[in-house]
Amino acid sequence: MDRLDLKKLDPNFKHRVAQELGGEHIRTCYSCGVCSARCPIEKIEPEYNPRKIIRMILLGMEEELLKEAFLWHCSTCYTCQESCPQQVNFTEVIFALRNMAVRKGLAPAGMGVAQNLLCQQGRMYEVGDFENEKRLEMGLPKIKGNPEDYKKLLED
Amino acid sequence: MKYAFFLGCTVPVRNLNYELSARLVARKLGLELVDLEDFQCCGFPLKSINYFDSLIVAARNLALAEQADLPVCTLCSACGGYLSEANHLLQNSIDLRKKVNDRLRVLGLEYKGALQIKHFLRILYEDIGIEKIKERIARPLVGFTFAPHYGCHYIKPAETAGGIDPVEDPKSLSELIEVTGAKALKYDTLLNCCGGSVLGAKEDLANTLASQKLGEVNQLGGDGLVLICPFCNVMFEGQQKKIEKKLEQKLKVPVLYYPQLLGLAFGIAPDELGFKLNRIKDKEFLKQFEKEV
Amino acid sequence: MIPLQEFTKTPKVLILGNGLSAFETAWQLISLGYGVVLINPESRIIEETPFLSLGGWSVQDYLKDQRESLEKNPNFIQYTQTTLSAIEGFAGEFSAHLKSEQKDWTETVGAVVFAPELVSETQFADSHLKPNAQIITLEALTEIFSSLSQSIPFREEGVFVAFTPHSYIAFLSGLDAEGNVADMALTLSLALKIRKEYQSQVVIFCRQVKVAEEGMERLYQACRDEGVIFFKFDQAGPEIIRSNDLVTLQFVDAILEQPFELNPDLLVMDSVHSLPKEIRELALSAQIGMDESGFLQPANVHLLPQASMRTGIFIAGSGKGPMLPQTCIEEARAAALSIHHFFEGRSAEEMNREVVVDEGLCTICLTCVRYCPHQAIGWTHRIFIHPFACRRCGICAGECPMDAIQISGYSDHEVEKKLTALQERRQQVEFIQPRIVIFGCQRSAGVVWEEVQSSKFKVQMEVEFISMPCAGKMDPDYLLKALALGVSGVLVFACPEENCKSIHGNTYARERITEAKRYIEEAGLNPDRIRFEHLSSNMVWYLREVVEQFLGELKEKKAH
Repeated sequence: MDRLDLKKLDPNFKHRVAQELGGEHIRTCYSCGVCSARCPIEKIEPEYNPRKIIRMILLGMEEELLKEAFLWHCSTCYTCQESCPQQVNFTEVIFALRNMAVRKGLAPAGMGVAQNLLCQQGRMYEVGDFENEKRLEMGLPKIKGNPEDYKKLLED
Repeated sequence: MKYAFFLGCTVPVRNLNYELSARLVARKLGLELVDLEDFQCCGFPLKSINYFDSLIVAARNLALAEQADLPVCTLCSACGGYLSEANHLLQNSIDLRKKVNDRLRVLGLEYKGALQIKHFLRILYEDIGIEKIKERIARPLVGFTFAPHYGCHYIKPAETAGGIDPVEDPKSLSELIEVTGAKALKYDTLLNCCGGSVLGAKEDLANTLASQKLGEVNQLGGDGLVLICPFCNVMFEGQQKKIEKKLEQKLKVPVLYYPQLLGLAFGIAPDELGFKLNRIKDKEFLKQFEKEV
Repeated sequence: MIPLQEFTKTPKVLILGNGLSAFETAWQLISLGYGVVLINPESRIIEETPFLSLGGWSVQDYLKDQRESLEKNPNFIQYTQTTLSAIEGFAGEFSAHLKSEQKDWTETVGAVVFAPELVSETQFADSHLKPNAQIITLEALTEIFSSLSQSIPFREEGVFVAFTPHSYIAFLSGLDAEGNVADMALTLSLALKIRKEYQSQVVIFCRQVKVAEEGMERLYQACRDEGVIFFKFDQAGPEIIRSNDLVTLQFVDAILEQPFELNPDLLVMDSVHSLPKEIRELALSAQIGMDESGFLQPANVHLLPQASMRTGIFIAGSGKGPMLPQTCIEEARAAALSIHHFFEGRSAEEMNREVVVDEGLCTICLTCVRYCPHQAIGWTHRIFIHPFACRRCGICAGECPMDAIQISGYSDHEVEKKLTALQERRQQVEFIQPRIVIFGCQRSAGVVWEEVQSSKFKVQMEVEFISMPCAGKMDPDYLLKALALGVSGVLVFACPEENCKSIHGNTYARERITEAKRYIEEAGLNPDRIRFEHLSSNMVWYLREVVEQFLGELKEKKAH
């Protein structure tokens, strides 16, 4: 591994993460490692290591971290969050990192689909006439889509 | 007992069996589920992209329910988990609530923060209760064994999930299975995550995660895996064939939803409970329940 | 033994020290009605740094107020530039030999308190560094900050050029040896202050972050919240590389396993703390005991909290190792209370035991004087054992070549009686061979034996337990007597290492038993019939295990 100059990293990255919704407690971490020990993803994919991710935040390795594909491999099982003695809320930190990656255009392709689907059809899966017919056949009520609402709400 | 019925995105399109059986069971237990036609996506899929926007999407649903003066019942654990989380955040932060309401004003909505959100299973366990359910059991499923799958968003994070069940040792689903007369399996990978959240990003990773549970449940035998969330269904039922290939072993794990199981115990016929839509099922097992009781 | 009544306790206490512990002890003792003589070798009083008071109170102000009140009190005398050259005599009536530039004199005091402050030295030599504009000691930086007023940032050549939002301040803390909470408190307080007032980046390199004092966890969290970066090391620390005037730190982050380097704008080095030379020398000559790191009070739990090896001499404060002001005050208060209890005669039951020296047998060989761990034995034309200083351990009795010393309850006669009783029992009841005797220290084996008695230990009939006040009382004569009476084997249990109430009792016992086994072997007997073990009072399972094993071995050998 190449030697990194600590001065080239961004010491304010952790403060920015702390400003994000959900990332408030990132600085309470003292690297006990329970999160990594219990993470089910880490067992399968060791590159995804919660404790290391937090350490990268605390040292200021912003660019390196936000471009990583593994940020999108968290299964959001919340096991780390429940086990953490310092209430770092790591699952929420992952969401915060994802938000920051999206803002910088570093998210993998296809991750931004959700927003578009909402604006187009109001839900993740389209409910058209075909779907509603099937529902009526089974005695279930119709579903209405409401894309107008979302366009107004998410207009930013 | 009246609840606003929140279906989310997946259930009403991909898991009609879950919805159907839930409505039937609810009717039998005197639980009135009201459809609010303006309910849409809970916002969870948007959380990774823009947390604040996803809160607004969630708050829209909450405001609608509040308007109808009804607590919310969800079928999907992710919806239940996320709406509860949004509810918790908005109830505890005046600043955040104000910011969200500023945006909801466009639709003429406002969320005041006085709502309660419960997963369908939680309503059965807490509001209706084991005893009352027992009274309605017409056909006890004695001699059958099922593996409960709690999933993650039903009980975690404990702070926002309402403390339904101890995170390390949950009991609600197991007890609800046992009230039907069947046995609930205790197994090592009980608390495992299904991996559903990773399916979009890396299919192989998600399948490896799901394979851990399927492998064990398959080995232990029993009459099926009982689910309470459509995401988990996508993994355990939808991906079972692919996981079979991955593990290089035959998997025969029938997958069903809890209300379907309860419905059978109530004496309702499998067809009425949507079993035709279950893709991996034990036909022999179902044959025993064809006659309505 | 000379009767208790003949000894007086002079209600005056000598305190060595010139800082918080010394003055707090003085203050507490004065309040309890004792006279206090406080001496220190320096001319001025040490003033603590302002940062260390984590509770928000000012150490400086506290000391000032205290000194003012003390100086007004007629029972308080202070001598500066004065040293203590020797402490003679016994608890209650020590002769403290004092020495100043003007005169030498002796004070009679009832008790002595060692409450010295430590001296600090930065080990620059080790890292081939010299203090300059970029390298500073922790003490120097603290002094600079403490002489500042709160709001005016001090801009000057050298150190303060470093404090900009773009500069990096690196602290090296506790990397050479075990860190301590006082230095960590200083480091964290300075780090926090620098972050808050100058927004410079602060990086702390340490082994462990010592937080075991009130307010430390909070301070550590506050530092992390402000953005102080910590790098922890299991061994060694960052490599310090010098090239011309530039200092570079090279290190590997243990969590990321990533190599890093840093050119700090200011490097702060910590110091090594030690006792002042004269205190160290005095501690050795007065035989009060020191630990392996060179601080006062050996690492023996029985001496906690304030006792030294020598009765009547107490230890309070930083002399034991660097500590925070609130701890120094607690130490001082505990010391004052211990002294008060000592004067009031509130001591252990065993003080009622009589220790008798048979003048007919005593040859004044002075063995007992040399062996006593508590300096409790003196002599004139005869040996006398001081009733306050003596802790009734019996080491003197065990070592005495003439068996001239007897402790009531544990006398040679009483031990013999027990051994004989065992033999008589054997003649009365149908016995299963073999029979063993256990000699055990009352504090460990004695406690275990009581526990064992209450359970159903089937070999009870075959075992005789004889309690000793300390394993150090164990006399090889007892072993020989037991063997002569037909006992198959003897077990001796002593307290674990470093856990003997008489410091060396267990060690002396082990040495004696080892020698005795040699004699036995030379005499043609099997030395494995004697066994020595260490045992603590909660190891019931171990005593059972050893006894069963021992009995098993003896059954097999059936040797004589």
